[in-house]
Parts: sequence; C-alpha cells; structure tokens
Amino acid sequence: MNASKRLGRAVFYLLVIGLVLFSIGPIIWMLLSSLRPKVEFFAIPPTFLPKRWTLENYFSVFRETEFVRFLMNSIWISIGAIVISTVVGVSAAYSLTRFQYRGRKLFSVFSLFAYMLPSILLVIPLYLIAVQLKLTDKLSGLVLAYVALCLPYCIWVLCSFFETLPIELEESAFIDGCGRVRALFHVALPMLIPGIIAVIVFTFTYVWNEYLFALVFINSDAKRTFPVGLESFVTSFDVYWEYILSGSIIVSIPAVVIFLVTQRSLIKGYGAGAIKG
Amino acid sequence: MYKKDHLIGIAFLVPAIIFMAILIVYPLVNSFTLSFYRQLIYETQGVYVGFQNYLKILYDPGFWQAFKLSLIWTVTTIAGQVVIGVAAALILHADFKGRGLARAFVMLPFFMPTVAVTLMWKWLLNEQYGFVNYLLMSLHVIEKPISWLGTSSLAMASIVFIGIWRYFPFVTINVLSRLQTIQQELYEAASIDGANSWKKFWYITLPEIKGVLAVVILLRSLFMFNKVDIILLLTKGGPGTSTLTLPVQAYSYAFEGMQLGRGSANAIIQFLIVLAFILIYIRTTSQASKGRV
Repeated sequence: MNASKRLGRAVFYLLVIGLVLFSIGPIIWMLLSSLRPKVEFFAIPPTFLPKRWTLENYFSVFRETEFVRFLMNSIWISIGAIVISTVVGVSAAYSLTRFQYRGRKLFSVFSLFAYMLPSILLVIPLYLIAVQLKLTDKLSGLVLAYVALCLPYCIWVLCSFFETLPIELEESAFIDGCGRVRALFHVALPMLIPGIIAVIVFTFTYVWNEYLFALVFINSDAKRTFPVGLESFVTSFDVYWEYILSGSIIVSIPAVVIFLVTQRSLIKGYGAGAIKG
Repeated sequence: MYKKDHLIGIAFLVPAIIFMAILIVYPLVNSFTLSFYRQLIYETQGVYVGFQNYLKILYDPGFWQAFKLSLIWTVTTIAGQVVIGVAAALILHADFKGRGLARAFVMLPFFMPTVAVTLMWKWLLNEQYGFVNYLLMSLHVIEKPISWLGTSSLAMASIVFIGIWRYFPFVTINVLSRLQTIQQELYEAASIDGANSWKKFWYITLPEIKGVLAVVILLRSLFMFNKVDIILLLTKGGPGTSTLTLPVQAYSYAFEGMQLGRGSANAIIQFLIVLAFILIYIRTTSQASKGRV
C-alpha cells in the first residue's frame, strides 16, 4: 500500500470514529453517569470513568419511586395497542388487496393521509371524546388513542406487503378445496409474517416513545406511562438525576434490543417512509 | 376467485372502518367544528363564534412569531439531518472492518426513547455540571459556563442541534438502503473512464439517490414541522417564547390556556400547511410506484 492510500485509509477511519462518537458519545456519558454514586454527579472536573462503580441508582429508582408501575403501564399499553392495530390492520389489508370493490383505493390512500396527520390535531378532539366517554385517566383510553395513531400506518404497510405476495398460491389452495378461512390462515398469513413483524415493531416503538397523549390523557401518578413518569422526576424544587439517569437507561434497553434484532431488515428492505418519528 | 365476493371482502374491512371512523374521522370533524367555538376545557358546550378564533390568530403577532420559529426549526433541522445523514450513509456504505457495529451505533439515537434522550441532553447541557460546558471550557472555546436551554438566543440553536442528532439516522437508513441497490457496474465503468471519487459521487450516486432524498425530505419536513414532544420536554417553548413553535403553541392554548377552540383553530391552520406537503408526498410516491421518479 502506498503512502497516499494509507493516509486516505487513516482519514476514513477518523471519519468513522468521529461519526460513531457523535452518535453514541452522549449515550455513553449518560450510561457512565448512571453507574456512579450520586456524590460524584456534580464533581468538577468530572471524571470520564466513575471513581466508584455502583448500581445503587438502579436499585433506588425501583425502591424509592413508582418506576415499576410506570414501566408496567407502558408495557400493558404497548401490548393493547399492538394487538388491536395488528389484528385490525391485517384484516383490513387482506380485504383491501384481495377483494375488488369500490372505494378500496380511497381507503388505503386515506390511511396514508391519516398516518401523516399532526398529532396535535388529533389530541384535542380525542381528549374531548375521552372526557365524554369517561376514559381520561384510564389506560384503555390511552390504548385507543394509540390505535388511532398507529392503525393507519399498519394498514398502509401491510397493504404494500400483501401486494407483493402472489395471489396464485391462495387461488390454487381454493382449487384444492381449501376454504377461504383456511387459505387465509395456512397460505396467506404465513407469507405475511415479515410484514406483521414490521408493524409490531413500529407500534411498539411508537407507543413506547409517546409523550404528548400520555401527558394529556393521564392525571394520576398510578396510571402514568414512563415517558411522563420519568419527566416527573424533574420537579420545580429538585431534579432527581439518580432516578432519571438509571430509569432512562432501563427504558432504552427494550427499544435498543428490538432495534438490534430488526436493523438488518430495516436497512435492507424498508425504503422511504417505513418509519415515523 | 376473490373478485366475486365483495361482501366477504368488505366484512374484513369493517373493524378498520369502525376504528378509523370513531378515532380519526369523527375527531377530525370535531376539531374542525370546535375551531368555530369558544370552548374552555371544563365546559361541555362552547359558544359559536364563527371565524373569530381564526381572525384572532391571524391578527396575533405571537402566531406569526411561532410560524417563523416553526419554519426556522423545520428548515435548519432538515438541512442538518440531510447533510449528516447522507454523509453517514456514504461512510457506512463503504467496506471496512467493524461496519456492522458502526452501523448499529450510528442508528442508535433514533431508536432510544424520546424522553430518555431529551433528559440525557438536559443532563449534558446543564449550566453548572453539564459535560458540554466542561468540555468547551477545557478546550477554551468558551470562558464561563453557558445556560444552553435557558438563554433565549441559544435555546433554539440547542434544540435544533438535538433535533439533528436524534433524527439524522432516519435519513441514513433510507439512503443506505437505496445505496445498496445501485449497480456496481456503473462505478466500475466510471473507474475505467478515469473518474475520481468526487465525480463518481456527483454523476452516479447523487442522481441515483435523488428520488429517495426527495421523499425523505418531504417526510421529515412533515414530522419535524409537527414535532411537539421533544420541544415540550426540553424547553416547553421557552425561555419566553423563543422556542414556541406552532404545535407547541397549539398545545399551550388548549391544555395550559384551556381554550380548546382556539387551540383547535391553531391546529387546523397547521393542518392546512401540512396538507400541502401530504398531497405532494402522495403524488410523488404514486408516481414513484409507476416508475416515473
């Protein structure tokens, strides 16, 4: 290798390192901060590695706060939104791509349109409906709100997946004497699994992240999801960094794991508009 | 086979129709009518005021200020996301040791929960003990600690930086997946013709990713313009009104000022702005699926 090539390679690796540090440097600092005792938080100058490594912030957020409850609420709401959005979405996508009737196109374009609506536009009227139905401060009310936010996108994505599947396989199943329900469950659905995984990941990520609706719909501590719960550790008197840092790391773990598991297919096949945020 | 049974087909759509009607169409209509009423949050019935909410908003200098801030927020965050996002995609597309790991690391900011990263930045940007001030002071860039989120002139720049940091991976993911479909023969032919890397980028890569970039910019404009959580969590629109963009203003009218009608009118105006983008997007993508972009 000649000198200029070697130099080019070195510059390239510096770029890679710079890019990676830009992306995860702040996250590493948060992780390292969460692993030091509270007395070291405000040390000047700060040390890069904790002087004493400890998990006490992690124990205390579980012991001293309602964090477990926030977490459980978030988990329940995610499950609820995922189940409804996926089942209703698959059924709708099956209908929109496998049958011919008027208004099909319109419905699928409307779901794309609904997916792009600003959430501030929906939060005001949905809040009013929740008040009328006495669903404010209830987890079920929040689940319905999240279905409103996620379902249009699920329908849209599942439709584009369904369209790529050859209809002939299902038709030959009919000819072999298979009923429609069996053709759906044994032929179409198994092929649709990548699409279903995609919408489950999307719905989970969306609901796990969501802050605005959770803030507006829920008033009592016991019903909070973690985005609002974590933020409540910032009070007007004090900021409980020991809870915030460890809590933030804990809630990031599921999101990061899911991303790591799905990232290959994310980069490979998704194309534009596959994700929202 | 399928073509004859419309009714069974429609039956599969019924659950979706019900959910969309109750959770999206009805609220949208509701929001629209609400914008013609003066209604406080604890009232069950408002007073019809016609276009008064709209007129009030359009004559309010605060609205135009928020409109301007929204444009600044959207344009600057998108410019940053596109530049860094494309650069990152090009770097991560190259062949090198540890590429898989580097890719995962670079995408991470986008997949962390919003509240975790915003609180993280509050920790990093804290005036007294934040790492950013410490770093800049030890590099002698600044002389004394700066309150990044608490100073009017700096708050917007700070949240723009955070907006770019969090969302550039969205551009990277999309561009990267497009880069992987470019035929290698194009580059090989160009090499034979003696083209350098810059020329290859300008004459091959850029034209190939132009389509996906257009769609990504449209989508990101929509999402950034509508963004409320990250700003609400970082500055709540402050200090003063220095980061009060349109969606944050609508939120504060509706849920802090309790004026649902006025908040709705504000949201409807935003919707009309966004609608233009949505229509362009739907046109662009339907053309793309016909192979014209």
